[in-house]
Amino acid sequence: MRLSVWLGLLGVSFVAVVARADEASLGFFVRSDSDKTHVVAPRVAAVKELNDGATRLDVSYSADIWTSASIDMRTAATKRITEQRDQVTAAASHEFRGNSLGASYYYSTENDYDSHGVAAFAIQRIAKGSATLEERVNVGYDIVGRSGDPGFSFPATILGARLVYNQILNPETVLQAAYEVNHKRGYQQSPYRYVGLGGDGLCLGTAVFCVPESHPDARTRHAIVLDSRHSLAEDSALGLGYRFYIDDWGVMSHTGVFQFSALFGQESSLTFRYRFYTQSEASFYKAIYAAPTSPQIGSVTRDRELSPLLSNRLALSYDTVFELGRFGAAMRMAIATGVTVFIYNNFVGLTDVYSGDLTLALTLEL
Amino acid sequence: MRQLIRLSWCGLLLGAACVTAACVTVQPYERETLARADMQFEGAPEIAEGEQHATEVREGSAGGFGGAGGGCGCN
Repeated sequence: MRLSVWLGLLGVSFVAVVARADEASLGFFVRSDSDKTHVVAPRVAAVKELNDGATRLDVSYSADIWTSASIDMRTAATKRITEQRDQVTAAASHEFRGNSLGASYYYSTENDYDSHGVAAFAIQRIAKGSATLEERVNVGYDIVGRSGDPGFSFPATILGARLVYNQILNPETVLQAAYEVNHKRGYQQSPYRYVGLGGDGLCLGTAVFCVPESHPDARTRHAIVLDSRHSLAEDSALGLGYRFYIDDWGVMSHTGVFQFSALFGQESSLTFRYRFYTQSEASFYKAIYAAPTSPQIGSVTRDRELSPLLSNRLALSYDTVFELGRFGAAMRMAIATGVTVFIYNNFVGLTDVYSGDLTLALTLEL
Repeated sequence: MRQLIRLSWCGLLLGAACVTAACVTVQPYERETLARADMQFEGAPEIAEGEQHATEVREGSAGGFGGAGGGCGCN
């Protein structure tokens, strides 16, 4: 691991010790896929509670270290690269009379991308505590650069809002409805991707022209989610969720989630989770663009995330708590593994990607 | 336009479901089952982040299920 990762992990650990944190956690995420991309993501976090738990302070550091020789690299004749993203997050919340107010800030940096984000939220208990309403607003500011090109710098701004409504339907069932809207304005394409026009659509193939990727500079995204949990017995529960997503680039998607959880004793649970996802292509996406007949080209992309695709994911997670009686503390361990298959219905050079991931998280509750 | 109308219908249906459901009041002493770990929408944050890493940053959609971070998510 690089020095900055060790500094980040040590920094948050130091804060946790100095502030006598009530909770400290360490996590690792590892992912590898058939598109020759590998990700290692460590995370460390600390929580401090004040005023008898009414006020909560959170601080965390996480990193993504990824190595890739994906289709994006191969079609641009770029060699395998390794990059790192570091992120610090701080949050504070205060609860009074069953209601909560809070705010958070994150700063994320990598060699060609900086991002700042601020969010504020409020939660109210309504209907005699049988329902909660949460409102959240967020603002972000990104600076997009290009490796090896110090003069390349373009901004992007993000404005978002989220409304979440939780309702207890009966003593065994709870329902969640959420709506989220996000508007991003500014540079949104990859500064590294090129699009082949004419021929087979590949810059390294028989394309007649090869031009930089160009996306519209504004995008408004809407998502509606309906989620539920239902207790099947004293020791098991069923979860069903659905998301409808739409944006003004023409992408529309459906996401379905099914999960089954079983409790083992008071402190352990096993969860099986299945997620299905399907999306349509962006209105300006084409697998192969025709060679232009005029200098006006418009928006063109080689982004597989804007192509029609579907994915299936199966995951299994286990959560348990060990009592560390001698120290008057408890250790919570969460371990999860998942397999995801992406099917690309209309993307030149890529038909599917198989990926596997593993997460391990240890939380010390003091 | 047709898509926006579809979104509005979804919103209206959700709103109606919530308003109807809001008539229900479950007493605090009946909420023991709802407090169980397997009944929570948000589990361990590391597990949720792992799923986001494995799916959302590789798809054209985002949002709705919560969670936000920075970076281009290009990998």
